[in-house]
Amino acid sequence: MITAEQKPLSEIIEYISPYDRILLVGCNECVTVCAAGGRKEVGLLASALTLHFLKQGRTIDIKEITLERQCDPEYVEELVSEIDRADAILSMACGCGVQTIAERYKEKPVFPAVNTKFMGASESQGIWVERCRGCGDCLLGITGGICPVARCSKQLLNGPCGGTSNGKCEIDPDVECAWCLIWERLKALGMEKRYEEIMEAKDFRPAGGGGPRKIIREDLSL
Amino acid sequence: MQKLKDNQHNKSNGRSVLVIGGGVGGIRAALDLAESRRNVVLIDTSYSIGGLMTQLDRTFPTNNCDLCTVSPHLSENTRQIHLDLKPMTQLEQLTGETGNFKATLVTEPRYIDIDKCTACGECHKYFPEAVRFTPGLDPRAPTCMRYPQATPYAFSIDMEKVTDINALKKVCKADAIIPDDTQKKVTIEAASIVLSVGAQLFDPAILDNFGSGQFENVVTGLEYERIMSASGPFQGDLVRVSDKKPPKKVAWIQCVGSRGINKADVPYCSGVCCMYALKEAIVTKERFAESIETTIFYMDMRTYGKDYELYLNRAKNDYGVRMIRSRPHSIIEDHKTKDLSITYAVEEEVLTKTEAFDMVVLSTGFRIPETTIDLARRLGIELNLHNFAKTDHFNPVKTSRPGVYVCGVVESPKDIPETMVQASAAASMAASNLPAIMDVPESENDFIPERDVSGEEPKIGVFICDCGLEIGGVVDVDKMVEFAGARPDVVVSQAVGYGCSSDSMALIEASIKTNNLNRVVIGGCSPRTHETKFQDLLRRAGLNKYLVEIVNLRDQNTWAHMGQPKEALDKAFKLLGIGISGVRKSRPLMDQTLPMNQNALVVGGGVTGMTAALQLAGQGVKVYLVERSAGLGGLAKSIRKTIQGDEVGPFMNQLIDDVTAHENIQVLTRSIIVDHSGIPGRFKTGIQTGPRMNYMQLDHGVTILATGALPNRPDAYGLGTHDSIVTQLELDVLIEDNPEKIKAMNQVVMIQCVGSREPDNPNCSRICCQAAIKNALRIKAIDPDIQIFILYRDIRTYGFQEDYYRKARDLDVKFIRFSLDNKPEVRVENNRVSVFVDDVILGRKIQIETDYLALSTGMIADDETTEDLSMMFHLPRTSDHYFLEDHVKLRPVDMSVRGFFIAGTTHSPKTIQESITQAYAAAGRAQTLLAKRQINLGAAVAKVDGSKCAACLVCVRACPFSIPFINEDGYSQIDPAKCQGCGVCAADCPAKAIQLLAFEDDQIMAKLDGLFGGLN
Repeated sequence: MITAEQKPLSEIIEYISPYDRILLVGCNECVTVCAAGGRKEVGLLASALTLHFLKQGRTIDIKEITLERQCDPEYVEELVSEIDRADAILSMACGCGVQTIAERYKEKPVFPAVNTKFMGASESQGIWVERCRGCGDCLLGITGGICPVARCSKQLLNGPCGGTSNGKCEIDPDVECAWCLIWERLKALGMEKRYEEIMEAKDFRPAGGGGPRKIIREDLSL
Repeated sequence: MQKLKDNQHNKSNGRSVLVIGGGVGGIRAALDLAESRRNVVLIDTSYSIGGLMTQLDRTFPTNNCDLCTVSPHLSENTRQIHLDLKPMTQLEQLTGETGNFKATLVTEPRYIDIDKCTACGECHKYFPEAVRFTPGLDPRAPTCMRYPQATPYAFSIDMEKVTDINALKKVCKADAIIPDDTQKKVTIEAASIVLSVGAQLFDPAILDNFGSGQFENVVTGLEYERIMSASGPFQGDLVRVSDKKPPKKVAWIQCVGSRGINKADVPYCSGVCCMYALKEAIVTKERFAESIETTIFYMDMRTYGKDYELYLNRAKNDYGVRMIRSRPHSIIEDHKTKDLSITYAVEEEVLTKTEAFDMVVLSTGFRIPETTIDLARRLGIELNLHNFAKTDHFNPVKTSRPGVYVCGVVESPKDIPETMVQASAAASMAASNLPAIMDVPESENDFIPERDVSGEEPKIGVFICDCGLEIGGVVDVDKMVEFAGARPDVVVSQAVGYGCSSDSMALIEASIKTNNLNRVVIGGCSPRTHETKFQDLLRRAGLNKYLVEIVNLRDQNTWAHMGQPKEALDKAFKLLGIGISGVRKSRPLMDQTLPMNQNALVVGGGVTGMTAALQLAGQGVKVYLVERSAGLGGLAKSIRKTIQGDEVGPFMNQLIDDVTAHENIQVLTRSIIVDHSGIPGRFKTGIQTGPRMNYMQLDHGVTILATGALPNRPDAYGLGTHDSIVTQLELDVLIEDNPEKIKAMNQVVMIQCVGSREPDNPNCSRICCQAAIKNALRIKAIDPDIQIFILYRDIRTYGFQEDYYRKARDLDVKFIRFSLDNKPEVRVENNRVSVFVDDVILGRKIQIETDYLALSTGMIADDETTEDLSMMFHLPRTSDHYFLEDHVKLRPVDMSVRGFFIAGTTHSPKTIQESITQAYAAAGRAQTLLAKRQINLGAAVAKVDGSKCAACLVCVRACPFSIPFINEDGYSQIDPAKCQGCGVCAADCPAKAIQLLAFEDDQIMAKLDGLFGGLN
């Protein structure tokens, strides 16, 4: 899942203060689940903004709408009936959503209300952790299901560095050393031999090093 | 719903149960019967019910205010159509027999028509001398009316004190005063009688050594409760009576008038005073000042109830309550300062000490008053030597007269939870003389069908009470009527005087019909007391009951702002605006129902499970009795005799025969529970049964857990290393089966609290003191020359067990006290067992050679079983692995999951008699649910809009009851039958896909609109 966090209110206010009619668009996917831009957050942000401008003696018109997914043009199309009544769009989706809207409604300014963070997994209620960098060439099969690219601070591929200590990373005692985890896991699986296999330098082109990435599935394209 | 309905059902349905005494026990018994659709007549000599509990300040272990816990139970009864409440009434005569009694009841004149009285208080205001009313507990009322829920909610008049009846009549705007009211005598038919008249508290003024009644700063426990109470004489300030200054040092003296042999003493233990003294000491520190020094002078600390030992430890360790083991002889008052000094001896020191205190509280216990002895005579029941009701040893709610049952303190001294248990047990026994529950027809719903208002535009009627001067005296009712009338959609706006009076209710009902109203706003008092009444009014008028909104103009406005009429009027407008705007969005809601499965599952085939099963089976309920071992009987089968000398074996054999032979009971031995699903009233439980462990699914509406506890066998004092070191259970068997071996002994030592009251098992096992004394007395009966030493920490022979303790001392059983940090030591030399213990009197360690060492090992929870079952059934447990009941005070056999009840030692350690009582109670409580036939699912439940749900799992994680789940269609589903309506999921849902019905977002927003005038 893509995780996000709401931007500081002051930044959002700065974006939209020139406009009187705002279309505030939430997304019912990832940002709902990580409580950054679902229907509830849309309502809360709308109230906060209304209050802010009211205190300044200004009434602004905020239209709330939450789409099923902002990263699909069909859903974004649903804004058509509202778009004319808006001076600007404030999106609470991830960067994909914001850009899908911007591309469809070229005549209106679109502003992000959240900062898109990372691809994360839910550790427990209210806590999300980074688990994948989208490197395009998954190593999890040989690292015991623990990703050194996403979870090792240095993205090392052949064991820990000298900064590992009692299973923790030197950058922060709360961060676990990924290679420690990998070793423990391999041991538990009886696959210690794997550890001895040297991994060659990783090709980071599929990770984005080769420019913007794209998937084309000819079997699916219409 | 404050009024008592003179209902048709009682009259037409013939026999009922007569409950005598309207304290918590009597109320519980009456409610249980009424909920099981049995007709009940509840009488009490007082003009309102509630008894002693309503006078207490707070109750342990949570230190909650009692009034708040008890008052819903009191008002609950007025909603029962099967309950006929007769205050100011006594039993004059009882003739006939079980199932066919004729009871003559005499009701004193009240001089007030309780159907008309609105409890407005005008009469009391003008004639305080002549008018009685319980809520007068709080002089600061009405702004902090601690107890506004008197039942009946009406005044009464003391006619002897009335000088001018016409003036009094004139004051009453409701025209409720009946000057020529007379004594009334009626004879009712009753199938059974339940006696629950409680007892009095001992008045220590008769003792000349404690100065009670002479020294102002010496008070009784109950007086101290009243002083601390917000509704008490000092408005909740803890101060000395003499100078109204807060005390710095308070002392409690225990056992005043109890456990004594001197004049005016009673020999028994009152059972509750240790806990209430601890509670009062803790509350003193908690609520008033940590710095107040609290000291308790006691003989034995008797915290034998469930988790009570933890409360004692908290008092000592967390609050620093000082505990001194000493029984002071007297209190001396300093005439000038009114300070009090106590001289006391402690056993560790040679000389006595004298210490001054600012206040002394005398912990007084229960006494049976003459009126009860007299009542017992009229009832034809025998009393025991202490004048408490004499009861059957294997059924402590059965008196000597068949058909007459007893519960609460009048049976023996006991606290609130045990009274509640006995009350439910007595109700269950009383019901067994009535036709079986399955044959009682369901009462009919006499409401007309609801009108469908879904397509209609809102047509709101606003009715505003003046409540005498309570509202009308502060704000102008006409202005409010005018304001409300000008709101959109309001078609009727009018003043209705006392809105809750029968005249006004009729007027509102007529207005709804003639004006075709579809929403109603009542501007009056608190919905807490009056919402149900107006909801019923709407139903009578053919509207859904959720279409009414109560605006609290009195409690939250005119009472709170009595001195600011202008601002109060302003606020009244706002409150009305909220109500009118909110009611517009009210929707008709259905209290959903499902048919109830009428079978019961009883888990555990010991004495408790069998008793409960038999009781339910006798009422026509099909019972599955599941037992994991190969035979019925449980732990009780290994006990030979009770302390009263009754043989347990024959009783158990009879019980097993009865259960096995009963056509309504299916006994499933060698069976374990493997899965469980369903909702209260429709459970499905899977078991594996028989030698082949075949799977079988049982459908049942209720479940009684009676899985018992285990005899503890800790590795202590050499248990298991020598043939002569045994447990009390083993000694019990030996005494009965092999008295010759006992005869050959010279000395026997017993050690108490083995494996109990220790850090790894901190609670008291409750049964061991009486077990040790029982065995000691039986050994003495075999050979009085055998020397018996009982090494103990506190002797906890509560209630009448104290008689046996005294007898043991009389027979020269030697009691030697030890403490947790100086425990006895057991040594085996040359195959002889010796016990070494410090003797405080001799001041040295002594060695006692013993032929037999009996260890009082008590009980321990069956952790494995309770853990499995608590996971399967979603039930909470205590920290020491017993099941945890729903409310330790008021619902001691109900579990937090509806439809589950617990009884016996799976609740906490207890004797056979206590287990049997709880078994009857659980069966009785189960019947109240089974009697419903239908499961009411309520209306305020969470509802998911699947199209909005993002399946984010927040509700699944947030729900405290684990109800939501993601269904096959990929969205959250909440079973309305299980939803508790707490609203946590609705608040947390990031997709706003969940709404709590009756509290939906648009309703709350509409109310805010009404308040802020549409700023959004």
